Amino acid sequence: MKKNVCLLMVSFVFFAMFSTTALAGDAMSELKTHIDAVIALFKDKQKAMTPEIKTEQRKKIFNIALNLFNFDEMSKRTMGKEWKQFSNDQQKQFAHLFARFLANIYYQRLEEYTNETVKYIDERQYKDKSLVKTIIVTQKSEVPMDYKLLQTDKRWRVYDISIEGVSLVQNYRSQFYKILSKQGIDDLMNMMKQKLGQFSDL
Amino acid sequence: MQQSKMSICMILIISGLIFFEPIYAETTATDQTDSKNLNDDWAFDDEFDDNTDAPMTPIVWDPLEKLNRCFFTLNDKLYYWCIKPAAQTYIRIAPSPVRIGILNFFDNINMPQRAVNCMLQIRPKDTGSEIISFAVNSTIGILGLTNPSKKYLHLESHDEDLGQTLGSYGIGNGFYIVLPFLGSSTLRDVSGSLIDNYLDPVNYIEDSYVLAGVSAVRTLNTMSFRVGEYEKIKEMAFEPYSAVKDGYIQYRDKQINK
Repeated sequence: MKKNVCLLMVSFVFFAMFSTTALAGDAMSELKTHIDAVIALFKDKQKAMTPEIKTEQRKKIFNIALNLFNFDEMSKRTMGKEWKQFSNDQQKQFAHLFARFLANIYYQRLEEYTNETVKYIDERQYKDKSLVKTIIVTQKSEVPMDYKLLQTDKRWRVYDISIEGVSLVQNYRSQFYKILSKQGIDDLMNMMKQKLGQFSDL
Repeated sequence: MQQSKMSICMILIISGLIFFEPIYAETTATDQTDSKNLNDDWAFDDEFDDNTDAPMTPIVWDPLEKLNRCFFTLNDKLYYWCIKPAAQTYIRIAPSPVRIGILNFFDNINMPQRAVNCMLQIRPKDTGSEIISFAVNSTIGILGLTNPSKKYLHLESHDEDLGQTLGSYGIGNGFYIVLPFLGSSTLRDVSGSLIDNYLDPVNYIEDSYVLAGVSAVRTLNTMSFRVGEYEKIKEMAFEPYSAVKDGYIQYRDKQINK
């Protein structure tokens, strides 16, 4: 009996050590932890899907998304130079809207894929930034997907995703550039609010 | 006679492209370095340069924007009213294995384009792999309906075209063009695909009715695998025209730099 307890303790300590090194360590394993958690959630999907479970699932996904993505950094990067010209309030409001929008899109995309697997190909790190290359393997095709991560407060979070070489941040930047060249930031944010209406809310 | 006239036209367009580029490069020198930073994945010092201060500028010249937007709207309507319903009906009639077979068949006979462009990019290994794949798939693969070269020999197909070849020579996009029916392209890529057409065996079908029929089946079959993509792009976009334009340019850049 005592032996068992001892064993349990030892394994617990090992486990704790292991998990902390994983957390403090590289971006790839941290990314993998979050993606695995999301996939696990969607594996449950095959079971009965009442509306209550669905809203709960959405909440969980949104929480994971908050740990997975650095939405503030994303907002800053999509806005480029314009970012500094906004007031603090505008920055906050924009970042909040953009985060909700992206999280909804993320959820939407997740719902469509079922039997996909993620292959982790390569990782490169440079100071506080990291690039993780993955391939999404679906039944029909293989889609390369690259994540760029930034380390803040000892956490690695994604600030840009490239799908088949198309960077999300740059794509939105080109769109916002077009909109802001004709209209103001307030018009843009109204547009975002309207766009958010197409989703059932998180 | 007609053909030689066409070739002369093409040569003119391409030489025009080469001259075009410096003019464009001058006016948008900063944009070019910027987009380079954003696209070059592995150049680390560049890659992780702080892009937050990068100016919000377009990555491709778009002098025909008004006309392009007209065609963009036209293609949008065409997609919802013609292409999508047609593809959906086709999916109902033709089961997935049939559609994959047809896709493989057209991919296989399009080998000359891929092989020639690999050659023009001085990639003898890939050229050879294309030719071997064609030989294997056309015989063992039953006229190219199946793809044993990938399954058993692990030979990947290289999706190369003249637009990419010209890009690899350092020729830039020129400017962005939206073609009616065909969608996004650039001056460089349009010129390239006009010449690539000479390498497409389908275009050598003499009977024009048969040619039209075969082309229709090919397009419909390809579209049947892509129904729903456009809706997703639109769902994600605040400004669909810019989103598609930027997506096309980034995607092509990636293909060229592969």
